[in-house]
Amino acid sequence: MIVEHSSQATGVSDLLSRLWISILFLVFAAAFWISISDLSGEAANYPRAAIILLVLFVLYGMTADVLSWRRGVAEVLEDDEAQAGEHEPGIRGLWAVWQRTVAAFVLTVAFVWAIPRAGYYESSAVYLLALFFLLGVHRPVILLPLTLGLTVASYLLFELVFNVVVPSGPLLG
Amino acid sequence: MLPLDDIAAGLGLLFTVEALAYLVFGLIGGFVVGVLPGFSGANAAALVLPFSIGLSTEVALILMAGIYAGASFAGAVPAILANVPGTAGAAATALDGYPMARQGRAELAIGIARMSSCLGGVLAGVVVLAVIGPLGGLAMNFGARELFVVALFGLTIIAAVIGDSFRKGMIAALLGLLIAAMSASPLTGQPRFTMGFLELYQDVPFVPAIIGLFAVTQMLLLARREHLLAPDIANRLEQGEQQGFRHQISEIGEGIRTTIARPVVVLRSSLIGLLLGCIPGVGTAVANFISYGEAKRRHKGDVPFGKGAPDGIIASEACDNAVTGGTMVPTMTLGIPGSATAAVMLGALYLHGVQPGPRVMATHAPEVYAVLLGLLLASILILPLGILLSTPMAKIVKVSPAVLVPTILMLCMIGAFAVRNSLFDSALALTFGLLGFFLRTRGYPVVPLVLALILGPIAEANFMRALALGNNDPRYFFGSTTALVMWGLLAATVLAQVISTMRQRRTREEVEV
Repeated sequence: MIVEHSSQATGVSDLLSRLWISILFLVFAAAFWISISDLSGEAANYPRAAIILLVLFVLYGMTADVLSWRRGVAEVLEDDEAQAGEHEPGIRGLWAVWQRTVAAFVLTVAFVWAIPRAGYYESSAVYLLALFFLLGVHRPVILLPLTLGLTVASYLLFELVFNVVVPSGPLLG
Repeated sequence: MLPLDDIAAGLGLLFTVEALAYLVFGLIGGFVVGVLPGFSGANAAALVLPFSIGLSTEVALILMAGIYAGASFAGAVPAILANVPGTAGAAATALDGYPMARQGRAELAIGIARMSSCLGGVLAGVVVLAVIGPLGGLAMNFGARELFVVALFGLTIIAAVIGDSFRKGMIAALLGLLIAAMSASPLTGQPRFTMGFLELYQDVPFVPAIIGLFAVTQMLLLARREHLLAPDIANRLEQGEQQGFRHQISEIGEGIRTTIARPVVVLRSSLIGLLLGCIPGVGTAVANFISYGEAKRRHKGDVPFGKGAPDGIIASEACDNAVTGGTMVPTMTLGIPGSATAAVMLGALYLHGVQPGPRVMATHAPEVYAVLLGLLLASILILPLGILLSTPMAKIVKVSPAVLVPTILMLCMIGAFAVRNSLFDSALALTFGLLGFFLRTRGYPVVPLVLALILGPIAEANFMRALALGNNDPRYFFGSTTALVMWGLLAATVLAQVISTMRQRRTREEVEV
């Protein structure tokens, strides 16, 4: 289903919201090009061809986006799952929509960082407890058994069934 | 001529306790993810991919075949009961299934959907079993230049048919090709944009990429939601499935009779699904709407389409499960995945040290036939398992994202870690998850990127080989009839997409102005 993107921002911020990902693509392409600039033709020709094509498509898209923006044509995106829904313009509005996603991502980064330091099962117990709580599971009678049950279940599954050797911590592993 | 020895060997591999148990396990898993809106077979297959390393190649693929078939069917249940298609393929099912449910005949609609899925899957499975051997033989004649053009064609057509614009599909595909090239050069061994990470020297690890792009991305998108479904819709779904087992059986029996009484619709829809499934990337959503439209065009029954016509449900569901069989043809004979779930199945082949492509049919034919027979058996098992599990399936949608997201993210991290015992892979899965999240929030499809990760190394290796064979003369790439036909198809696809995009933009701008 095609849904009209609902960002209400206008002016330069609207243009930036259309173009930021294209700019990231161009930065990636430039960094790739520079990193292979001193390689021989056999190693570099194939990625160079892909970079040139990528840049052409991105520039074409950026031109179309700028022209649409100048004509005041609303942006149309097609991904129901990704639609942010109605929100206030600017960073505050975006934060209101995506704060739970940011929490999930940041906590997962912290979880991966903590695994070699505190052990897999210990880290996952703390991670699950924190993320369940942040995403809305607040009642201790659900939160604690859920965290404990999942940690024990993952211990039984990975240690006994799949024989996955995970970084050990002070308590388990 | 049918390779009966290979089929018999495939039967032997399938009919073991382990393989059958994993097939049923996969089907149940497929039912679960199929019911959850926004989830797909690819999400679940990506999640079990790293843990399948301990299984034999055929059992790992049979597990995924079960997930694929289960998810293809289960998406119909919320589509019929609550007008919320669990998978993209079930969108056309809702058009007549939901009106039928509102008339108090939900079980009849589900019965028709089950029988149609079963028949579509079986018919397509039988045809694929018969043709895949000879097609595999034809593909064996493909040389380096043909394989390079096939890889390019596969990427182009996937970029063309998936997502809201050809340009975005192509950008995602080219991004995937470049990410796949972030490794040591296959010819000279020189590192290319590996940023000093030794883990990237041997191609970008495929399993963390798949887990990140499918499962982590989906969880990051889901994290912002309070409910999977609005509470009133979830309740309606659950109530619809609680009318008692005896009532269910009688209605489902009528659904089976209704479906069998329409053999032409079943056959035509299955054929459409099979043929469109063979084209990489077309997907069930497009195929089902084509099948639905065709059935509507030829419909002469009492109940009009859109008001609960059985033909509408049959057209969508028979086609849906036939597509599943059809996607196996390019996946197994050319190594070009026909769908996102088929891409994960190719990942499983890599994980087990099997190089996908034309030679798979020569070197691993029994395993391929075991998977195809597994899909066929899964299509048959949809009928009894679907009846047994329909009530618990309807309860799944009440699971809160607050519980689902942390649990799945934890599994993703350990899954990415498990293949090489490397936390770098967990971090990589998270990075790919973030990339997928950014892409999807800006309307870029991730499937072309995933397929480019698979096809990139194949395209590069064959490009370099063909260049060497042709003494660096580019004309070599146009030097065979097959290559010329593929180039022609590629050019036609690009041209058609450019024209279509320009027309769409002009229409949109006229409407806006």
